[in-house]
Amino acid sequence: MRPSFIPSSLHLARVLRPFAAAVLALSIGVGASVAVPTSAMAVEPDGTLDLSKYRGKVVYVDFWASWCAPCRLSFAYLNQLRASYDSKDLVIVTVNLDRDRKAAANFLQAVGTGLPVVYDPKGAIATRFQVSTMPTSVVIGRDGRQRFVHHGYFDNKTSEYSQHVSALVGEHS
Amino acid sequence: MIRKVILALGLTLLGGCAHVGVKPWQRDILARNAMALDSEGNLSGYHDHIYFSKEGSTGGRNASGGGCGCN
Amino acid sequence: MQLIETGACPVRKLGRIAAGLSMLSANLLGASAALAQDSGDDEPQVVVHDLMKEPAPGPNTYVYDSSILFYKESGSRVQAVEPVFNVQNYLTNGSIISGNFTFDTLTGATPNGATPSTSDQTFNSIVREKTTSTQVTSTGASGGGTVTTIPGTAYAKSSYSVPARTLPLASFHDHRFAGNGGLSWLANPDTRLNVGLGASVERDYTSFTANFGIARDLNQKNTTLSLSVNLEEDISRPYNGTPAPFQELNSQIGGGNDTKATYGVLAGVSQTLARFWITQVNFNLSGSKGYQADPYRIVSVVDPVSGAPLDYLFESRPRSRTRESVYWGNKLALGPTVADVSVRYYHDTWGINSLTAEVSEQIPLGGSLYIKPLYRYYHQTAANFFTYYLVNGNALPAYASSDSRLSRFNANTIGGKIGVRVFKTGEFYVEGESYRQTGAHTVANAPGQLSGLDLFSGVHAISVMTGLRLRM
Repeated sequence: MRPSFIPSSLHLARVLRPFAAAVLALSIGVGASVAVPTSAMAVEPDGTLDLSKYRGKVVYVDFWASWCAPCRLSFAYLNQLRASYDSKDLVIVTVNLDRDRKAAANFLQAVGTGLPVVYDPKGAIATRFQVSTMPTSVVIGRDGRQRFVHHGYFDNKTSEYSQHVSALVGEHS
Repeated sequence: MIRKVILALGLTLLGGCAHVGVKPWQRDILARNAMALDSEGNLSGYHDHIYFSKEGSTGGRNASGGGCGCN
Repeated sequence: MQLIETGACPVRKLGRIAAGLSMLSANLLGASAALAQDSGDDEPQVVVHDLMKEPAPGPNTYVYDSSILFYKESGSRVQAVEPVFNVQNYLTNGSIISGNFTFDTLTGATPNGATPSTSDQTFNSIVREKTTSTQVTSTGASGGGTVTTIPGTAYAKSSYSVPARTLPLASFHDHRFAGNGGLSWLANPDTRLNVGLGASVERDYTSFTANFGIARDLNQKNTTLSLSVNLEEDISRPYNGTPAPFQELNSQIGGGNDTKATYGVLAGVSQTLARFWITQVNFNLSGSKGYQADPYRIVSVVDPVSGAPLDYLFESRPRSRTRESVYWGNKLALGPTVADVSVRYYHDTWGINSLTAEVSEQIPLGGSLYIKPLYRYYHQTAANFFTYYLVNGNALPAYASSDSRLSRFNANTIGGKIGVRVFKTGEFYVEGESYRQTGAHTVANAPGQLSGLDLFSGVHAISVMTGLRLRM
């Protein structure tokens, strides 16, 4: 199922992408240096995550990096979680902590996901959420309060993760 | 003498390390196979076998630690 | 390489053409990967990294490493071929199951422990008849030994000769099979336990090992403390039985098998010092009790004036040995390269002290190839009972051995490794090394002819190791 939650800036990016891609292809062709995506392409500017706009919805914030092997497995679960809930109940935001943007892009392309990404190469958001291991997921209730933290990702704990989400989605503030 | 220096180093590492290190999301380089303490696979077994059979010493590296620190 | 479907986007057609033109740039547009992608049906693609940036294996991975070693010492000494197969299964819950299988074939010749002489030497021994077809020390290195049954007994006389002015070598061949298995698991996110069992069998030697270890992470996994214990039981089953210490070569051996028990304790700490630097210090203590001699090795008894060999006695070593070592190792990522620098200091109760220093530098050449030059320096002092020969008429010492492994020497290893990316996540590698021991060729005040002969029995060996490491 196609993800139905697409913020407006991303929608614009989606329309422009093929044109941007063609321009880049020509740039490469004339030997110009390849452009690294700017923060305008991401969900938010690098290093910022404004959760206030998601108040009233459950927010699942997942911190990941391309060099983190369990993160690779976690995306299958995140995609499935996205498909299980309507975007008016659940927001999933992934926060990428790679210093090398190319590595993150390479990972996303191989994993195949429609989830939004916020880039946090300096770790400002990770510091704010006191990330203590990779990966970490923070589950925030509809009231904006942090309710659960998942340290690491384990395939055999996904039912526990899902229970947390469904409990919070079930709460109506 | 060398023993004392290395012993002192070991104890220093053990004692003074609460503030030394990297954040969990800064382990990109440490996560690499090349930076693992046991990155050599079968080759380290060959080396151990050759050196143990031709020399009088034993002891050395240990695999624990480092890496991506994931999960 | 996937084309990213854009779903019901109105500019889909143009998007497809552009995407086709710019496959490479599409990779770089990380945010665009967040656009519509039909989920679930496709097999997730493997993430391909540059060879030297490949992360260490994570959960849900199998790693298979198959390799072979070709080893050859110069001077017609030992040659070995050793295939090894290793498999590791990384489970999703953090457990790791591993298995290792080794087979090795050794041929060639090894010093029998006697000194060279200005005349030809003949080594006579009494061997057990049932072993005459398979054994060690029945032939000289150039072949041509003789075995003659002693009528009415289960024994035979074995005899081989060695030319003048050459280091006496005895030929042999042997096969060894070894296997070990290990299991490692998380007791909690910061504590890892491991157990392992192993066995090694060759025709005249069997060894069993068991190990248990624990590793605890502290300081957000920047510090890891580890402690492990290993136990080993060895059974020596020499072809002709176990000789008594200093028993004459040319005499019947009454002993049978003999054993040795070893314990080892390792305590270590590893610490990440920076994003690009990890260091570790390990302390190792081990002790062995039991039979520690080489049951085939002799020592020459020489005339105090002429230095000519008068008799050959089987060697004698203490039945206990305690060893200690301290190791300090580092991995540093210097720019795109990775340096491995380590030092080890060792001491044991036999009087051997050693210093080992190793350095290697892994250098990427593009994203699919690396080279890794390496150098190792080793120096050891002699065991306090090491001697090249015994002098007739002097009191017999408590212990004596002329095994070069217990002598004073330096060793230098120089070599290099090449690794090549294969099958997206695998690696094919080749490593070549030259190992050379250097030590004293003569002894001060060596009697008679011995002062003009080369007594050194250290090795110079070339090794080539090649293998394939696959990850899936």
